[in-house]
Amino acid sequence: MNQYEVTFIVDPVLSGDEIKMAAETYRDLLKDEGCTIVSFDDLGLKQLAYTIKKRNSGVYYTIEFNTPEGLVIPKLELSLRRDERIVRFLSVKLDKYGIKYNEDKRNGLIGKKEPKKKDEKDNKKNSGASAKKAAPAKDAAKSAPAKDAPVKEAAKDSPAKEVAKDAPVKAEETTKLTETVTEKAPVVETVKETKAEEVKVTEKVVEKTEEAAPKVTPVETKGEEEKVVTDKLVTEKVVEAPAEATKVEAAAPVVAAAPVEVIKEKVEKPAFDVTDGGDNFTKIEGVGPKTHQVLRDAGLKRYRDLAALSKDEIKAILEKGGSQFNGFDTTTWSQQAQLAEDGKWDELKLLQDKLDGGKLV
Amino acid sequence: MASRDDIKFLSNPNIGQAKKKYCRFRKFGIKHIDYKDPDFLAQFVNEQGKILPRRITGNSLKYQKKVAIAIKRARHLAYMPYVTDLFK
Repeated sequence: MNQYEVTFIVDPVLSGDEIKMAAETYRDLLKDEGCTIVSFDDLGLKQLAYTIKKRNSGVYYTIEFNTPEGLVIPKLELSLRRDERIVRFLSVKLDKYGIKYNEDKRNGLIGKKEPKKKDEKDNKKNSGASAKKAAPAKDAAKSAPAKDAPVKEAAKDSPAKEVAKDAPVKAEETTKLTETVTEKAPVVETVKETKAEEVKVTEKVVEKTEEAAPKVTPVETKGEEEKVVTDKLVTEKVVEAPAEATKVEAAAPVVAAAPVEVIKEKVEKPAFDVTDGGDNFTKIEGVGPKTHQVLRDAGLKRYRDLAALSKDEIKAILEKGGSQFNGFDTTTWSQQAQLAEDGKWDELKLLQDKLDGGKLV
Repeated sequence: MASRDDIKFLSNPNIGQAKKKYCRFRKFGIKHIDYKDPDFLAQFVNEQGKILPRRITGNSLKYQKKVAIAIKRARHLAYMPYVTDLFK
């Protein structure tokens, strides 16, 4: 038994019925000659790679059939050639590999392995797993802080996975931390899981504050305080590596003067422009990063602190910071700080438009 | 040509040696090349639609011939052009 495949292109200008008719005639012809038809495919209307008989598209059909002898082929080809509805045709004898290939194709075994699906699966696995772990972790933290055992183990598994998944930059940082942290208090790991919001908020912090690594030690001591925090925080899915949470956690309390205070403050205003736990003074016109640092060193953390000072007091602080700050006009800083504190960004912008480098023009 | 460790080159002498070429059909056990799949065949064709030589694609002789036959069939059936610009 020889297996053959014939592909032909039908003129697209014909009506749909006529096209089908044309294809059917050849199928019937083969049947009448005693061939068993393995498959009859309508590949549809396709654009031709070049113009044939002044046409740019055509309807492709493929018929795969079996015959004991090959005498039907010349007949078939002759009728295809004479038919004016058919623009092109090609008949091919299939070898065993070809037969297998066509079979597999019909069964859907041929085609890309869809790596996307895999990624999605992995993401679902990880996110589903982490969600599950986050849920029990949340429950554990809220209900009974002492019940860390099951969550611990779950948490220990997920860091490995999640670390592998993340961006290499973070992964490098976090792997160090996971090593150091896993040695330490197990409480920390539960903290990791439930740290979703913290993580998102202080993502930028993590990247900037590289000093977080040595600050892992303080985390241990502040384990209890963090437990308190986890109870308060809302738990979402942990997308980033949990170790990041510890880093973040390390950064946040350590940077602040009194850890618990800062954490509480964070709970109040979680998503507000956090660089190191306080407000970003550079938003005030006239204040650049260096000036911002000077103000920080003087103990000013939030806009309200700056707003409370008079311009002379601010000047005094600047002078302490260094002589380069002498020429600054601090008249409007407290005003701007007050607007920022109140969250009146539009008004602040209006004011800043009037200002020129911090000076009222 | 004595190779000494303290010879300094301006550019890495290992440039161009990195990738080991292999016949993808033999390596992955692909036995049949379908002429009705122009996307797959486009790998073996340059931007003008010309068939690429074996030394470029890395195919073994057997499969290079099969590829060539498949491409020619595809061209006949207007799955691929004979000659063009900006094919890819």
